[in-house]
Order: sequence, then structure tokens, then C-alpha cells
Amino acid sequence: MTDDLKHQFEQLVADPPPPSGVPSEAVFARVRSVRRRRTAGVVTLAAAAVVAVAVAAGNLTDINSSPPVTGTPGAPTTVVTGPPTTSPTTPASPTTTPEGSTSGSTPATTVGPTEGSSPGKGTTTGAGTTTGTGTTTTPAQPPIDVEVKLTPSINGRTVTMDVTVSGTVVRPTTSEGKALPADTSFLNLSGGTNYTWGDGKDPGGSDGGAVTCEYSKKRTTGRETYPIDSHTYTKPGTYTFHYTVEYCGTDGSFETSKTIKLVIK
Amino acid sequence: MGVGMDPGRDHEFAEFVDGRFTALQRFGYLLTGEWHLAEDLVQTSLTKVWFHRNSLRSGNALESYTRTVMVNTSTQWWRRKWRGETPTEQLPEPHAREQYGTVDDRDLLLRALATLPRRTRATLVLRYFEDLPEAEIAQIMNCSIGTVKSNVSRGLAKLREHELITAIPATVQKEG
Repeated sequence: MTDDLKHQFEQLVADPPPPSGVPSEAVFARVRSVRRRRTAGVVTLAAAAVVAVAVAAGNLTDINSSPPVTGTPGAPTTVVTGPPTTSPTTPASPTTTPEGSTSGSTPATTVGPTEGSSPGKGTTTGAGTTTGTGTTTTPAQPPIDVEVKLTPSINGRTVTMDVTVSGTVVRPTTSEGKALPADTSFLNLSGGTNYTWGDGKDPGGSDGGAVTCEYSKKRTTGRETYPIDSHTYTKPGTYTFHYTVEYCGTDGSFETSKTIKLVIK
Repeated sequence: MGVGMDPGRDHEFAEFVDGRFTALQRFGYLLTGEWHLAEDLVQTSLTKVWFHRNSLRSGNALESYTRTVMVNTSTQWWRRKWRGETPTEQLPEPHAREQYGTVDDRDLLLRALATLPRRTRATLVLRYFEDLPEAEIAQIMNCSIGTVKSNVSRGLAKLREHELITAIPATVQKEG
């Protein structure tokens, strides 16, 4: 029925030039390039997150707005001792209060018992570190399982999504069978992530690097939370966000998915 | 050599790419009008598809999804190109019929296709080159069957405006 127009189209594409190389190799080369870029992006994000957390933790104060509870460089050191038994004898710069009492100039470094801290004799021991009689039993291996938690944050039509992946997986290796570095994050042990926002736009995802399950045996348990790129919907509605992550199991790779409904007003 | 965690799936994907590359390249040529762009479009689209291959089990789904990505990617490219246009002081001379008196029909059809909106052009190619049913085109284009029909109708009407495109048969024109 449409033979003539089809014939014209076929004439148009009658002489395609040969591809510049083996097509699949060219595609795989592009895939590797994209993976490297994505991995670099994830590492940068993770590093920025670590720095942000470290800075924030360094400025934490307790409920009474006391000095930072974690020691940052230059922060005053709090020494916890027992109750003072005698008054300071030689204060550096004595000041006299209206009532006539005398105090030292640097009292902040010596305080009495603090609520919640080790009282009394000034020695602190770790809790629960005592071991038993020396007999060792091998604990049962945790089951292979991955849990995904999605935490959306909706601001108008823009959605920011925090993804938490946790569980026990088989540790992948490089494609040559070599072990990955010990400090490889839990997300980077995955074979890749994919997500769609449910509005037909191009899907997104990240990748854990060129790894394979082929030589994997060792199990590892971990947890990681990371943000994915925010997304802005063009119109209100109820959308389904779908997230999938791939990890190694005992019989090759497996996928874990999570879906969440987003109501955009 | 594959790049994924599962060598078996990589092998299947490589077979699909090598087996269907020329067909996809032809489809890409009709979308872009240039062979080197067509090859780039196919490779770019297949790279995107690779990251989602696990959710596409059958070969038909893989090819159908690849065509979807190709249409979307070519549309994105066209938008970027359009944004990159720079104004000129003098408008180019309008195309006169005499200019193309010696150019073969293939070039004329290509020029006519270039005047169509990207999605209309893709719809026409899917309908009359790939011979796909409207329902499948709607799936690939992520639109309704009604939109496919109207795109086909508008596309054919636009082609008819080109006096040089005389070979479109009346039977096809009526279908719109």
C-alpha cells in the first residue's frame, strides 16, 4: 500500500557506508567512557559528602551549647577529672568577685563531674570489650540480600531523592579477577544503578566501575546513602519513581528494585 | 570484550549490535540526513541502551527501545543545534526549483524530510520505511495512536507542499 514511498526511502538508504569499526566494540568503548565519567562523579559526590559531614561534626554542640564534643584543630580540650578537692593555690590572674571569692583565670579546662561522663577517678575504660575464654566460634554467614530505601524531598515540582542501599552481597572483583580495594564503598561494589522518574524523560543511573561477579566468593556487608540528581517535573500529577541496583550474589548478579509514588502539585 | 558483570549478557548485546547495526544506521540516516551523524546517533543510543539492557529481555524489546532512544536523542541534538544558531545579516536566498533540476530524487526527498518537525519525520520513517503498525509507533514515540495518525497526516501534507516531491502516490496521500 505504501510501496512507492517505501521504495523512495529504501533508495535513500541503499548505499550505507561501512561502519568505521566493529560496531559492538565501538559501543563498548563508549560504555567504558561513560562508566568512568559516572564513577568519577560518584566519587566526587562522596568525597564532598564526607567533607561536609566532617565539617558539620566538628561544629556540633551538645544540648547545653557547650564547646564542640569532637576535637577539631584549635578547639579547647576538655579534661574530665574528679571533683576538685582543693582550691587553686596560685591562679595566674586572680579576680575578686563582689562576694570576695577567688577563682583562676582558666577554669574551663578543669571541670567537675559531667553528666553522662565517667565520674570519679579520672580513668575511663571501654565498655564491653572484655572477651571470653578464648574459644572462637565461626558466626553463620549473613544471607545475601540488599535493601533499598528511597527518601524523597519535594520542593514545588523539584524532587530531590536520597537513596540508601544496605545489605550483604558477594564482593565483586575486577574483570581480571583481582580483588577490589578494601576501602571501596558499598555503592561502588554494585554493577550499576538505574532509575526513572516516571514522566517519560530519559532515565538516569550510576555505575560502580568495571567489575564482574565471575570470580566472586567473599561476602561483605555495608550501607551507603547518596543523593541522586534532582528532577523537576513539568506538570503536576502522580509519578512513579523506580530505582534498581545490581549486586553480585552467589550465582551471578541480581537486581533489587524499589518504587515510590510521588505526588507533584 | 564486554564490560558488564555478566559476560553472557554482554555477548548477547554484542550480537544484537553487530547484527542490527546497519538497519539501525539506515534508520538513523533517515532521522538525521547524514551518514556520519547516523553512525554517531546509533552508537550513542546503543550506549544508553546498554545501561538498561537487563530490563529488556527479548530482542524485539531491545530493538524497539533502541529506536525510542534514537528518536529522543536525535530530537535532543536538533534542539541543541537550533539553540546554537547565530543570526546573520543577510537571509539566504530561498530555494528555487531550478536549483535542483539536476539533483536526483533521493536528495530531494532528503531535503523535504529536513523541513519536517523531528517527531513528525520520525513517525513517517517508522510508518513508511520500517512498516511498523501505528500501535508500535505510538509505543516507540511514547504518544497515543491518535497522535501518530495526526503526525502521519501532517507529515504527508507537508511533503506534498514540495512540488519536487511528485512521487508520493495518491494512495498514500489519502491515508493521512
